[in-house]
Amino acid sequence: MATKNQPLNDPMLDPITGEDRVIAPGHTFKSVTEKISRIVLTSHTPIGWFGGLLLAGGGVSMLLVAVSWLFLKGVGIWAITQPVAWGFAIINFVWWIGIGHAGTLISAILLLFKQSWRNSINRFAEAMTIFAVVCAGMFPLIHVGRPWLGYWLFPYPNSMNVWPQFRSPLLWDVFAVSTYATISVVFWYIGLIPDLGTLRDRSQSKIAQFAYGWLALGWRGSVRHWVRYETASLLLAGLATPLVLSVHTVISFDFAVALLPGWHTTIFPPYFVAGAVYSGFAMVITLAVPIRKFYHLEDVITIRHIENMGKVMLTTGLIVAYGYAMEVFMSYWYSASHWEYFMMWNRMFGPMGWSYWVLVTCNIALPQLMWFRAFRRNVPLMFIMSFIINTGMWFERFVIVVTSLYRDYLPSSWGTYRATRWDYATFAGTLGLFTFLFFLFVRFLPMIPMSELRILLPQAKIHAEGEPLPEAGD
Amino acid sequence: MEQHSGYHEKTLPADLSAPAFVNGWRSRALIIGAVFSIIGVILGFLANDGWAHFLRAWLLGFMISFGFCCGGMALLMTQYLSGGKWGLLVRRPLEAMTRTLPLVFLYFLPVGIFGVSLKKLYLWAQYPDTENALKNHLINATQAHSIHFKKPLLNPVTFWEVSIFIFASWALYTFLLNRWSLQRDADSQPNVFYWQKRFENLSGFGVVFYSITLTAAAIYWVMSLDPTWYSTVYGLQFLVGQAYGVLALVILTLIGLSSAQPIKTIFRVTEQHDLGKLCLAFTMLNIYLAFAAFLIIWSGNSPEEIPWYLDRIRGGWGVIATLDFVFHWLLPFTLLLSRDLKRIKRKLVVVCCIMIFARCWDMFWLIEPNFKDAARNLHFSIGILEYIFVPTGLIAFWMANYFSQLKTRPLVATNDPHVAEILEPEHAHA
Amino acid sequence: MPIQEGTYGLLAEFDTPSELVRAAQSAYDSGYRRMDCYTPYPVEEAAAAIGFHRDNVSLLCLLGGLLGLVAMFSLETWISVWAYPLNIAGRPYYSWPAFVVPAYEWTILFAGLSAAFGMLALNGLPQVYHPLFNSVNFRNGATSDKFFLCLESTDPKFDVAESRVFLEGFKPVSVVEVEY
Repeated sequence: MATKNQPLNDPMLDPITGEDRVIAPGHTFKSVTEKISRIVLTSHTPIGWFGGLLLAGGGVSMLLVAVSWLFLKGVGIWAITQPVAWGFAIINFVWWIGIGHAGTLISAILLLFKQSWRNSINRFAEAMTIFAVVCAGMFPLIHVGRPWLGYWLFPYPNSMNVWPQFRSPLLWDVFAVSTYATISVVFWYIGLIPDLGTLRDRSQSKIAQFAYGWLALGWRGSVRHWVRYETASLLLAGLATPLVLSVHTVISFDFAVALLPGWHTTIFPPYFVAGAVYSGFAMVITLAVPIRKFYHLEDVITIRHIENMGKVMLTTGLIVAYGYAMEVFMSYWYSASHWEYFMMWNRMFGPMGWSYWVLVTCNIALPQLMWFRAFRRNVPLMFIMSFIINTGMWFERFVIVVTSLYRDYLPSSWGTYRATRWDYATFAGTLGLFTFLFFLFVRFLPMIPMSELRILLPQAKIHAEGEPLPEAGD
Repeated sequence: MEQHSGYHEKTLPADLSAPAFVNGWRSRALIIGAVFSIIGVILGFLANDGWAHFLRAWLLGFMISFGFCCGGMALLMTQYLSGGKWGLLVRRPLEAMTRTLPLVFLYFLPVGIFGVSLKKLYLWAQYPDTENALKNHLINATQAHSIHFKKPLLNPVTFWEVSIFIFASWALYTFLLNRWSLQRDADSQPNVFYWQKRFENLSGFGVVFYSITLTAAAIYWVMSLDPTWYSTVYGLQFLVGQAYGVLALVILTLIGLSSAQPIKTIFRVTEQHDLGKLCLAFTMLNIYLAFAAFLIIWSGNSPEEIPWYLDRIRGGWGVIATLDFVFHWLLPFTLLLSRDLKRIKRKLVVVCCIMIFARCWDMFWLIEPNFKDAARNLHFSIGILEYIFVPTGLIAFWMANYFSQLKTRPLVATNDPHVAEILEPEHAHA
Repeated sequence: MPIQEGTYGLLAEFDTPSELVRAAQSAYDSGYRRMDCYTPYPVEEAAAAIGFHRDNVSLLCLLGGLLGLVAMFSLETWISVWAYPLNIAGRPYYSWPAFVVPAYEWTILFAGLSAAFGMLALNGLPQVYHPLFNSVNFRNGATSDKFFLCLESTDPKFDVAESRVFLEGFKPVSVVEVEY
């Protein structure tokens, strides 16, 4: 770990703080612009991209089949029944939306905390958010049984003369998720505008110029515009932060306001939020590692990013572990309640106890390896860890939904839960959809914000008169 | 224009010790402490309630002082982990807070001795023999069940063991954090990286350990006043609440010290603004946890949980609860929302004072309704006045100790790469 | 709008932000007001140099947020108490704790949309035509690696010849006259 003899001439280390650089030395405004915009503007699309798109397209097709069959036959093709009326649909919904949260968090909280290392990963993390919300939003919609009447969820004057019921957390969900989707898209688009301007100015083809030109809204980089733009970005970041917190909190209310042991507990809001961030950061690593390899972006997605994300994951993972610990302590024993005790016993040692231990292994035990600096800085290991954590987080939701429901108060109404192939097909299908959208994104939009990367360069520092100027661009 | 002439870097003053007026603060704190404690004791005699209210008020004063001391330790470790320039500014004041641990332990002793061993404060200590107490209608069936069931935890021996253990472990942390900090400053510049890692390694585990022990402390010292009730988020609420109070205090300290060197040089508006933002964040986090817990229990409306809130809302307590919301969130939040306010020292001071007052008010709302005579029945008695005098006395004495600790070390940690950054001139916009 | 003709302004190109800030500061100090800097990333110092300090985006955001809050809370109250009162598990019709949640979401929704669209509106975007894009070096550099200062012809102090001499004093890469 820490040694007194640090190599001081390593170009990837900052000479003053000894920390890893956020961006490799030697880059200029021009080279950064060049590097990122080339990926989008090139006319030679890498063959690997087509391969990946095709593969992901297979997943999308599967999703289409699964959803079509669902619309034809109804939700009976899923395993949901009494007492487990909330099966895969809600598990996947919570899982996906949790993944989305890291994107907002990276762009928002880290912006507020002036963590400049975020600048190179925030764009694709935000894109990840939007695609995850797309996947997440689908589940409640197809779960309602008659999705074409989904608009009934909104309060609007209608000929039936009925209105929604505002004391239900499921309705809160409608507002939370729709707000989240809207703000995420707006935040993302606002962030893209200057880069779209760059693409407009650099593209050679007429179609690209036209498309990026319209999307850039005539952005010309006036410093007056920049000041308002920065204010708006900070405000959106300031709003997105409590929004993220509220979204997963509202989702935790879906469970916690019910009087069911295993659901009704006050730690749910913070620990759901922490869990969401946990899985989201894992997903960012899952995406960042192959991207930086494939597009040779090691200069801008450096080991510092991987390590910092490891630290965030360790922190949020520990908060999640704290949540589990409090649940076990309070339910199993301190509540002095038989129902609480039985739920916890059944969750750990009942017929589905294996799922609890999978969750403990993936979410608590193995991630403790991230305490070690060497582990956090090992890219392949972190890549594997990201899969482990997302598996664990999926099982967390499985445990919460299924093991609380299948054996509640009356033994006569106990049941069990076994997912059908359509459950699996739908879930796998959304993985395909997510990947498919992501492939489109990396091809047609700059996945790393050029304008924000420029700020990180040493040339961006303003020098006083008389001081020697650094070498201008190449 | 300003920023042109301001491009020249400042230098750190030669004398980094606390200015002389800190002695004045200390004398003032001592006088307030003495006056208020004497009145508190007199009221204790007048109240004629077997010193019950005196002890409850003492618990309040202890919890607040403890929050400053150990919350300061938690924030100190957090800033080692998170980095950031603001961390450099607050490091020495936070260290001074942690060094008040002996006094806080002294404050704890009456809670343990009178509250638990002499059975004056905690219901579970009072009626260990639940069967007889139930028969004599001293407690109800729920209380009897809870006290009986939770006996392995809620008994004087375990209480003392756990409390001594956590105090001892915090003492160890306080010792290491303070000692290493001086060693680091005495060391040479190239070893900064080594020290950073060392502090990170200590703090990483330290924060985790503190969260667990604080949860235990919060359950033991406050939540178990009502042995029937439980809430899984309780410990986390204390953690956030402590950070809320400590941030307010540290800003007050810095602003107070900023009229003289060395803080005058290093306390820039940018960092003041950042600290203000942190306050805003914790104000939000605090109401978030409190409201979410309330909404969950309100929606559930189960007879096992809701009485805790009813005890604190009905019979006049609603006024206290509403004002708690006003002091704890509404006022600080609306004020801190303004960008300008966070940058003007005079105004930020007011907000910080409100925040510290809100912590005390909230603690009153948490503690007093646990007792049979006060639950769902807010009424005036001489005893209730002790909530003004005893905690003020305790906190004032604590402050005096804090100010003396502030004097013992240079106010700026020098062996840190952020020193150079913090001496740089500021941007026109931040 | 009548078609504008003639000179829009003089555009000086710089390689570094420091040179731009110095030039902008001198221009402001010598009395130019109608001018603007163009940079590929936010340069706060340049905005300060041309005397642009405050913007109204925060105010719009605050007003939007308040509007959202009031709108949703009143809607919930009206629906639950008057329009469609339902007894849900014995909770009161006016269940304010439950109403807080959607009202909170709409506060953020309205505040966010106001900030984003307010910023665009104040910036006069979207804008389909701007004379500066007639200049080739602006098109090539303004959004990637060059820094521009444009003195606009509408400024009372503006004079094509004098202003050009003034700008050339800062040793820019080039000074270009931009047509409408």
